[in-house]
Amino acid sequence: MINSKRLLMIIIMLCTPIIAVSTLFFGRYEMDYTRVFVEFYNSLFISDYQKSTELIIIETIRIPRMILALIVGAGLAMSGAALQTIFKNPLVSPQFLGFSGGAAFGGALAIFYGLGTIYLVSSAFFFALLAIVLVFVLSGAYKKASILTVILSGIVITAFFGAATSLLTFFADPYSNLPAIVFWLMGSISSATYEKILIALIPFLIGGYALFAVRWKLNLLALSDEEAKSFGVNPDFLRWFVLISVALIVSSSVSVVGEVGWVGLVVPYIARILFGADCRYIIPASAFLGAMFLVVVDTVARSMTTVEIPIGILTAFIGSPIFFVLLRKYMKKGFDDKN
Amino acid sequence: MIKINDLGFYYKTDEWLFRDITFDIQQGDIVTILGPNGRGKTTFLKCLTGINKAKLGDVLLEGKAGFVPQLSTPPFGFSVLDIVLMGTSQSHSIFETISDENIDNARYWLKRVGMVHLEDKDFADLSGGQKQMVLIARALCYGRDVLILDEPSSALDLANQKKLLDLLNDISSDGTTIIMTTHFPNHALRVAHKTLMLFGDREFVFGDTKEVVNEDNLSKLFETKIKCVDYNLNGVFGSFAIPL
Repeated sequence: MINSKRLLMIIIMLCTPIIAVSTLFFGRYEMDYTRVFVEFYNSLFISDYQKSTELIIIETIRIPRMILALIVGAGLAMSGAALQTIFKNPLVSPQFLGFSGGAAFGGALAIFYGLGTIYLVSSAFFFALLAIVLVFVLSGAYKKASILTVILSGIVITAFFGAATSLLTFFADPYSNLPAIVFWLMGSISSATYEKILIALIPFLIGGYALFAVRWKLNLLALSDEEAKSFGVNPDFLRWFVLISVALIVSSSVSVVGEVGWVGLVVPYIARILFGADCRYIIPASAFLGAMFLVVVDTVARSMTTVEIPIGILTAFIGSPIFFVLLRKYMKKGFDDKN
Repeated sequence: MIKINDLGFYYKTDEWLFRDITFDIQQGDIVTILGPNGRGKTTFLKCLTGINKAKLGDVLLEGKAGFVPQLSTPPFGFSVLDIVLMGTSQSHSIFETISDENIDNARYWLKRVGMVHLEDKDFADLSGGQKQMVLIARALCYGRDVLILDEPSSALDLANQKKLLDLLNDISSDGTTIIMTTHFPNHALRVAHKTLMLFGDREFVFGDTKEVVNEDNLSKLFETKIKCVDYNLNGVFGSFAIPL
């Protein structure tokens, strides 16, 4: 059983780069791929090589976009898996808990005051964390996790930060700050650049490694706090460790691509079907599956029609039915009573 | 060996659940804690495990103590083996992970409680009796010096109660000290070497089960008239208690 899980994990790890690279060859621009390959190979060794349009498209548009989708997908999926465990609830995800709303407000606030990228990311991080603290306090979620209370608290906090963001846009200077805030809030993977990749990558590596490192101890947070304590774990410390890591990942991803919902809900759900509940597998599996998921969805979004479909629309189409299935399943099991 | 010195605890300031409790428990003994609901039995156990910090006095416990809480099922489909492995946590480091050795150890305890054939099953799908056995394996996996159980028999039918008591007897014969709460005096009479009865703040009795679990003490404890009846089953002597 353990070995078959390891094998499955290796397959997923191998599939991720294969799928990621193959998505480079899908798109609205028709190309002769053997020529592009030869050209790419040549360009590595000839210093002033005259690149063709095809190669430039791949290098400056499709590759950064693919990398960004991989990072954001992996980060959001891991965050979702970790959050579900600490809230003892498979229906939570970053977007329902106010993380994204808080991060959006934080970023908009930084632009409002005309601050630079570092301040923008830091401010997004701070407000993402503030939002989740408020949800925690409002729902008392770590004491008695009821699906409804947690999600309703998340909705309230998201609405609050949404209103605060609207207020900022209302007061923003319509000739300079306002367009900047609006474009930033709309943000999408299509505007990927290598600078954006760097902004997303560093917090992702720190937060993602942190979540990966605690993957085993996370299991104990699925138990009651008293049980966790009896096994020598300090649940409060571990929970804050996870929340800060998640805030880091989500705020950086919101900073570069805006809000992409549902990834943190759908992917851990699939990972649990494949690997069971053990976070030793769920955390890394969510990362790889999340990366694959978003890179594929993004490819569909940019190549299905002549006009690009915003990626959030596609993830919502996939995510909402899965949420519905989960909700039915757990309501039927009397999930609330069991806690 | 466990030394309990002047132990006291309250949830609301100065509303003592118990106070000034002092006694020693010898290695390998089975100790039951008797008392009606709400008398602080579970709280007393949590003071022993360190989940609750004593407000007064202290507990000296040699070795590691595994705790079996009252039955609850965690969300997500953890397998039986996953659940037992959670007891593998051996250090306070949050970055700890597990080895194949830990998995073998978990299997050993699963075998010991007779549940190894169910290791891949979803824990949530087990019966109450099976869950109890798995939780005992998990606690032993964490610490085999002392096993502390909170109402292990309350959700079990008679056959499973017998299974449980036999298993506890078996484990204690290896030198594991067992401390459990129960509201069944008969379970104390059947397996326990020593019994603690919590009457209320500052008032308690601790001693050999045969001596302290008698009609007077039981009637006082449960505030109901209780009769003890001796039996002789093919040369095995014992007694049981029934409320009148």
